[in-house]
Amino acid sequence: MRIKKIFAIVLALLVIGITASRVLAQEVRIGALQDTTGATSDVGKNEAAGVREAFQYYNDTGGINGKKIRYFQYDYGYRVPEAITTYKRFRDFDKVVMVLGWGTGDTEALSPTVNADKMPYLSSSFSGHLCDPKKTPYNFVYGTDYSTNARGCITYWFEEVWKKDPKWKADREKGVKPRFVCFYSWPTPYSSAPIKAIKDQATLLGFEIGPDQDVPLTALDTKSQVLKAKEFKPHLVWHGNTTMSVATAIKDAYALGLGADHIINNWGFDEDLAKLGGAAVEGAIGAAACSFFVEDYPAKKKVLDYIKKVNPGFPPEARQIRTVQGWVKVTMAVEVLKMADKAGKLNGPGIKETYETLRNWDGLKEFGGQLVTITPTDHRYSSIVKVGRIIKGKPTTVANIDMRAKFPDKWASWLGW
Amino acid sequence: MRRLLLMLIIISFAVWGMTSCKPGLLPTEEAGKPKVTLDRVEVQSYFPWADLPARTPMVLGFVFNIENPSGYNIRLENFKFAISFEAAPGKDIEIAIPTYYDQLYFPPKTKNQYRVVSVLDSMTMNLTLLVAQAPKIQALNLKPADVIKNWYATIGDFKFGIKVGEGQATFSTEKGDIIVPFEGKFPRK
Repeated sequence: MRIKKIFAIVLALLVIGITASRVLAQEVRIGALQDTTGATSDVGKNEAAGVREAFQYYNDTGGINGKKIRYFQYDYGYRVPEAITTYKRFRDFDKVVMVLGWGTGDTEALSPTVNADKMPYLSSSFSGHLCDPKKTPYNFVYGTDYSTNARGCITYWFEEVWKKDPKWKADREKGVKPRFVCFYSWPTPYSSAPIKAIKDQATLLGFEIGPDQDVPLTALDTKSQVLKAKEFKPHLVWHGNTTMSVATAIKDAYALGLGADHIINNWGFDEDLAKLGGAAVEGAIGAAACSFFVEDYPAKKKVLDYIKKVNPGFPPEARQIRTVQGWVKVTMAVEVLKMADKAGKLNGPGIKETYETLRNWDGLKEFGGQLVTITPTDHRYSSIVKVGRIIKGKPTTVANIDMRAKFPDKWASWLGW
Repeated sequence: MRRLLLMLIIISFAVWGMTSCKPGLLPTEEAGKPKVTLDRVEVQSYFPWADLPARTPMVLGFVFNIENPSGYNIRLENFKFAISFEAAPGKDIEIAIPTYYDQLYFPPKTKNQYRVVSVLDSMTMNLTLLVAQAPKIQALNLKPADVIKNWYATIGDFKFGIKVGEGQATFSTEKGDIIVPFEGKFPRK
């Protein structure tokens, strides 16, 4: 009898052991598209490093409820055909449960495919076009969308600078309407995505809108565009490109005496802009997805620790806000995967449903992100625009504007812009 | 009889437990960590230069030595590094960050070679030099197209330095992941 008992215990231990080893051997696969060599590599390399370091941190701290995260991170050089090919590899060979995407062009081009495949797709493109689940149910973003950012930046400038700054006192008192132009790469989906929204907001606030200027992402000289814009005598310029191109345009504007203030979309506003632009960018205003790398935020120690552990050859001095954004992106993905896994729904529709249960989720606050609410009818991550300003050569958070609170009658109608 | 059986089971568990513990250094101990070094760079396949904006490939093979001094099997999970070319004497410009996810086991106390074939191209190099590396290129007062053309003209003789930096090899072991940073230069001068 006793022997039977002993055998039963041994058998039970073996079963537990085998089951435990099978659970440990399980992994959750995620694909990540990055641009480390292409037209947005000025910001893409830093983000890719943050993504890599954050994945290592989450694997070191238990993965997805004990399941190891196996991620596949590839550079696609900001080329849409290469992104599509890599996505097929993720789907057909790597068998990922989620993709972390990058650019607006490739995310929008892939959107019909990922939605047909029921593949959750969390992108670094915050294009407002990706936030309407009626059109793009499997697309998600991890920052306030570009259109809301653009509306927030122009509103901030109108209220805090145009109405208060002595620089514009004479024009204000004469009853002059603020004049506004947009500098951006016309054929680039990222750059052009929020233009309709910002012009709508400019009209709403009573601006006069001048001619758009086409500025490539690779621009090293924008003097002709600045001179053309100067004919309109703008008070304010929106810059819709990434950091290198924005720095070039603002430096040329400074050198040629354009005299306007500058507001910038989030991928053009960072620590490098301050370094590259010098005196020309002092006072420039921009949107931010989270805390700047140089600021203090609760998660800073682990961000720094994992730079040292994973990428010691790419030191903190060379980092920007993009590294923090990489952590924000991975943190959001990991949290949703943990929730979906706990609910036994670690599949496309289950992960999508889980995203849509987030209500005032505070998991990104440690990186300076917003409280996140995503619903089955609205995939905009937040209505709050984090506004930064270059002050004494450093990007600094100066305001958090809640666009839903400020424009409650408009907010719902702005979905999908 | 029953006692004897019980003793036998306990002893067999003890023997199994002892024999399943592998001898040798743990990979997480400093002396047992894997070592990754760049052995050489080869031109894997040569394509003659065509003026930009044509896209000319440059296919390079990076041969690494991977040594596992520990007493454990280790499995390579992920391998990435940044490739930099010398644009002016002593001034390197980063042009690509290849990443690989081949899973390979390295037995205890062995030194093996791992070849990474990286396909670069002139158009992507040009974009990198115009965007991410633009501040360096401007500081050196260089023209991206001229720099790239010179690299293609002289790569056969390795007349400029090639640097591997920000290297990271991730190995999995029974004791957890080990991250090994590495860097190297070719030709070694």
